[in-house]
Amino acid sequence: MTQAQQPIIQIRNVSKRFGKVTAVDNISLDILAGEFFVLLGPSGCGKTTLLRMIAGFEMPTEGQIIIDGQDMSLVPPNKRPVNMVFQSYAVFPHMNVTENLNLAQIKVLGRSVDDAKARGLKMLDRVGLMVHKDKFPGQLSGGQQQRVAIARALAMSPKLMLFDEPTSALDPELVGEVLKVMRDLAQGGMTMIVVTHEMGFAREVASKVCFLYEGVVHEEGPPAQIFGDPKQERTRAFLKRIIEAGRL
Amino acid sequence: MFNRTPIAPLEYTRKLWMRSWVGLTMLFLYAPLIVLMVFSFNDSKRNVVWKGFTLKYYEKALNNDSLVEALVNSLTIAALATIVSLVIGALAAVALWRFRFPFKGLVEGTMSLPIIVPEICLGVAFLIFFAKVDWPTDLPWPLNLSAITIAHITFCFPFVAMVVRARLASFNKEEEEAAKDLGATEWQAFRDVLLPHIRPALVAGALLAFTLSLDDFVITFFTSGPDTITFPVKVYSMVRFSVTPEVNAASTILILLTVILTFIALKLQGVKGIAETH
Ligand SMILES: Nc1ncnc2c1ncn2[C@@H]1O[C@H](COP(=O)(O)OP(=O)(O)OP(=O)(O)O)[C@@H](O)[C@H]1O
Ligand SMILES: [Mg+2]
Repeated sequence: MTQAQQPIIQIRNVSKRFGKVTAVDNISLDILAGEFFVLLGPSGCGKTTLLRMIAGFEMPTEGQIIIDGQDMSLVPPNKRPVNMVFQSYAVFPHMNVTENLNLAQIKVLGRSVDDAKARGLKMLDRVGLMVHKDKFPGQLSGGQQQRVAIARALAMSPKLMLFDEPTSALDPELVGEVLKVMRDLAQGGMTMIVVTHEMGFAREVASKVCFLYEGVVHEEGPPAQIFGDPKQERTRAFLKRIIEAGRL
Repeated sequence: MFNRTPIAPLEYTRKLWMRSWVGLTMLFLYAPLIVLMVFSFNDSKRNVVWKGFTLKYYEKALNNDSLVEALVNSLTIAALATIVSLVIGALAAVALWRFRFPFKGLVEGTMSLPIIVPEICLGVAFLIFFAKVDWPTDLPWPLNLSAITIAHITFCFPFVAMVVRARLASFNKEEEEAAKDLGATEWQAFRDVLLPHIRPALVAGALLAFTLSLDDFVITFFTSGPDTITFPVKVYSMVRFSVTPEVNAASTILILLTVILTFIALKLQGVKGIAETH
């Protein structure tokens, strides 16, 4: 219970500027262990930039990112206990599913081939892809590839998982299978920060929702409040547009 | 016969005029080579009429020490030039793809200069350059081939860079980020993710470099000395006296060599490539 009080990630006055563009503007956020934290906002509001700073692909211009009590603002991505799931899946096309899952476990965590295999298969089972373990990504559907990517990240035992629009490259009928895996993960207690436009899903699964606007946290709260009774005009307008597009 | 599917507008391969055109093109391209190969078996000193089958010109070619020496020189230069061009070309391509820096366009343009500049100019330039820097000519084999090899690298590596560059355009950068995200170092991400992606281009580039180097005449002619005759230069000097079937035989060996190499490379590429895309 005490663990639940300690934020697993603290974002302290973080700003990111690309030349003249301020993508993220003095954001502070605490994310607790086990939280399912949803980032919303219009295109260009800085969601991807914020995730990429947490993952380590971008360095903040100002401020600190503290992961599990350690200042990791300037630590490279390969040294962070954080794993990202990409919009384009980014599974390695020249390796089969098992190799995709095992490579990093063996080369980075130094697990034995047998241990890596065992853990890999367990994660593959969790995302429901056991039967495809010997296939190449090119032989799988987008939804299946995205689940492989999730299993691959899980196999590394991350403290925190980041999802940047994990379903927006998928055909509509494949979105559900990926969301189901994410829902299962959330129920299993994984801490997740998720950028998504699947509002129904966010409303149902999120423990906290944060609405970003022009690089600033515009409104933050539990999903029932953000979706049911948004305080800010811009949040309302954004949600209205999404509803009109038929996404809620 | 009568209920065959009608020919659709874009089914060019089933149209007679297209088939004849392709056939004629193939004939135009390959007839000279086939004649050359056929006449390497001709039992006649003069290369005009067919007098019967023989292998004696192959024997003669293989016993011609200076011809064999030239062939060994050519293969050595081609192998060295290929390896170095592959490394420089691939690194140049990756650097140009990955980084933004001032005068990048200029660097790119300058790099492909050896492709554009007429060979004769490059040849003369190398001749003058090696004379000016007093490049030693009395080195033991294979160091005496260094001047030619350097010249070959200069015009081979831009081709490798070009092919690799084209391949890199289809690389999903998120794959590299995923690798780093999973804990890979810069080097591991390069070796395990980027390199496998550009491998087909490396094979293609290596083949290109190897064949370009193997059959280069103009630049080699200007950079070779009496002890560093390459195969094309040797064949040229033989042809100046008379075109004997020996020359045909030697050329046929060279053709076979390149065809076999290409075949192996494509085969190696094919198996993996198919598994990945299907
Ligand atoms: N590498 C970069 N160089 C320059 N500007 C950038 C870079 N990355 C992002 N930006 C800018 O920063 C701002 C925020 O971009 P970001 O990708 O974080 O938005 P987003 O919320 O993820 O949008 P979307 O919903 O379209 O994915 C945008 O104005 C973008 O143009
Ligand atoms: Mg984005």
